[in-house]
Amino acid sequence: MSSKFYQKEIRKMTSQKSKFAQTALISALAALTAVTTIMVRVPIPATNGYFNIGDVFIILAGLWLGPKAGLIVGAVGSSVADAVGFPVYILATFAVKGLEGLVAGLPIKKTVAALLAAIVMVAGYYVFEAFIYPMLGNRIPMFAITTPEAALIALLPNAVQGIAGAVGGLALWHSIANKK
Amino acid sequence: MNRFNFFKIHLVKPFWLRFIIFIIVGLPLFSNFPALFISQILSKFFNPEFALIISYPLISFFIWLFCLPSLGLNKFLDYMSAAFLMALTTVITSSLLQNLFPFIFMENAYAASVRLLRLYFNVLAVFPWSLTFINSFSPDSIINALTQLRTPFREAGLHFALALRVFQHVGTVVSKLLLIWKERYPSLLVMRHTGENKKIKFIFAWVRWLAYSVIDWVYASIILTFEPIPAMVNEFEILSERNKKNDFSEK
Repeated sequence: MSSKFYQKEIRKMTSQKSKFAQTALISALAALTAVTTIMVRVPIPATNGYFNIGDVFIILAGLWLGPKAGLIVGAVGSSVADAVGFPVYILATFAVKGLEGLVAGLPIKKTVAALLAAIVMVAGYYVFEAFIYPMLGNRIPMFAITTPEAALIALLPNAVQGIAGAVGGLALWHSIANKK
Repeated sequence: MNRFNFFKIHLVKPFWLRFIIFIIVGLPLFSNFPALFISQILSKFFNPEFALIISYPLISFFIWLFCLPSLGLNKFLDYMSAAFLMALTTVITSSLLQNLFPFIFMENAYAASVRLLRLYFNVLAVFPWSLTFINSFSPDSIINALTQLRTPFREAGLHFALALRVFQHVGTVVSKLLLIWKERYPSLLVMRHTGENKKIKFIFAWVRWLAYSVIDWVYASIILTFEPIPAMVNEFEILSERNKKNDFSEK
């Protein structure tokens, strides 16, 4: 069957107003975010974090279903992925990725929202890696995994990840959800 | 009765005990502690560095043994083929990026190799463990249990059961779809046996392969993930209507 058929079906489905349809869509996007985040994990030794491509679905969720859905998909989907392998990052991920999805869903121009979401992600992780984690690390050794210098190094891979997420999310939104 | 039923985790009751067993078995995936503990024991017999390295495949092997009886051989092999594909993609991409951008991935070759080896076996264990975990809890049991609860909790429980069902569906779809990756330039995953080992040529071919594979996979996943959702939603709406009438019984 042609991709236009599926586009039509997906649009029909998202036009459902019931709460269950929203739950199902949010769960599906959260699960896809978790899988995509786990799928290609490139470790960044400086911060003990990793590069991934899960942001595509977070930004898609925000653009497609609005800020609340973006927030849930970002916070839950990415935290589930962090739980297996990088649990110490759950705190940062829950806050930063949730905020990323929320910003992607803001009622502004979609391109601006996607780019803003990517910037929020890069800035959010920088704040956590440069300030919050080192501060927490002074009291709880588990969090002493990164330093302000390491956070600077991680800016570049995070920026690439953010841009890839924004471009991918926008492309997906245009191809499956844009009603124009 | 099948003699392996004792080892099937999805048959363990009550559900909270099943949950606790999963968390205990999956502990090495969340924490480095079990690997260090095992390597300390093994270091009495082997070189300490070697002991640490073999602790990762040992843990993965234990987790595979835990998942196998519940999944059955065919499903287990399906999940493992997807897991191997994911793990190989991850370590090849990581190693490529580490060579291309050494100023970001500042680490000596030995430490980088150990880290990637650990990640490789982590992915191999995470994938079957996660899918066994989400498939061991039945949405139908949750719905049945909801009949014992007061009405407002039933509605929230129905949303939870729907979310679980969607997660289970995504797990099944995604593992099958990962095989799409292998169909594009399969030689890149077994390059040792081909002539594809010239560095520059390989880098371009790999980046192209990864980009196309991910794009194909994402589109296919979206289409197949969303396909049964309207039917699932309808089913839960009917249950919700019954819930509002305070009646879960079949009519």
